Amino acid sequence: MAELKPRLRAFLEVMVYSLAGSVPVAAFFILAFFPGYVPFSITETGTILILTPLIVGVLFGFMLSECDLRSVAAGTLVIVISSSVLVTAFIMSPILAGVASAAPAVAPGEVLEIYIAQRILLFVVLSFPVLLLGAVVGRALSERVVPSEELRRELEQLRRETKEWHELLERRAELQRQDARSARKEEPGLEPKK
Amino acid sequence: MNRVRALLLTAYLVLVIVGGVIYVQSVSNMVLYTEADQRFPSSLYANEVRIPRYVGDKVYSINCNFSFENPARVSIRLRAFSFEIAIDSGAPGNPYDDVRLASERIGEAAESLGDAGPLIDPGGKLIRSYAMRVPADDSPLMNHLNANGNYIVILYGLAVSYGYSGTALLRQFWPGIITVEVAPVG
Repeated sequence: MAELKPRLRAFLEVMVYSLAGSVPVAAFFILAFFPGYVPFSITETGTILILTPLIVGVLFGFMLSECDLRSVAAGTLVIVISSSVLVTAFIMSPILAGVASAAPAVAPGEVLEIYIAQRILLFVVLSFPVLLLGAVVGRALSERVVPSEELRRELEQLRRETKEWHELLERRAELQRQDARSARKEEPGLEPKK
Repeated sequence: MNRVRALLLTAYLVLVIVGGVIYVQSVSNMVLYTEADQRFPSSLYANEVRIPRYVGDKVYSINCNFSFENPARVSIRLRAFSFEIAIDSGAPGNPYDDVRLASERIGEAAESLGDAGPLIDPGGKLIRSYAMRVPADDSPLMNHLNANGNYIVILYGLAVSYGYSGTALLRQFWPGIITVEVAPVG
């Protein structure tokens, strides 16, 4: 149970940061691809599409400085999946709200599903690699800039142990020197001739 | 928690909040625009426009469905009259030409049938819905539909979508009026 708690805490931390991170990723994708619905318009679509996952990924990696790299990678996967759900919910919101019904033109259920699938696929292809890159970079930087508690503890312990070793070695060296001196005094053959 | 970590956490939270606001507003706009049919050219659901038809006191609706990929593949169901309608938005080619041609055609057709009211701006940039008022069931338009069952009409501010190579996945909607051919079901 005692072992489970930190693991559960780490899991929840990854999930919370991932789900929170999926919101801006989905929102900025919508901002870039569906400009007719957003409160303001942008011209740099490509920049938004690349920069947003990168920034979110770097910050996400920084936030998870206490988790291992596998958790960070899994977290980016969660971000991409939950963002895809948010984008799908956005596209289907008129249907979900009951103001429109899916009315396919070619075959029943085809057009809208293909349309959504295309967008989601594009979203995953564009955002996942950048997000993952950002997260790994952020995680790597975090070890330098904001080392985790565990790492700090380990470093401090290492420093303490090293210091103790040095002190121990010095003490031993001192003792050896003392022993050598006393041995020279006690050994008659070694006494200087007058 | 050290200062750098607190700063980064704040930045992350700001990003999440900004994203949340954008997302909620986008979803809200999506629903509202679709419901109000006010922004056909930017509406994903422009393929499903409900144009109220006023015939006397009755309000009919027309559901217009068309493919996002190919505006020529349009099918329209005119529920009130049980017509299946196939759309020809013009010959493939320049979308501007298509829209202009289509709008000219329907403009002439509507004019010949005695319908009043602007159908499309000269530049083909009409971005508003247009509900045509038909005075009664025996109006020229309705008579024409009923008698011939193979022609014309309707559709105002309907969006036509065109994909572009290179940015084909980015969809741009062009406003346009589409001529339709009406054929009775069965």
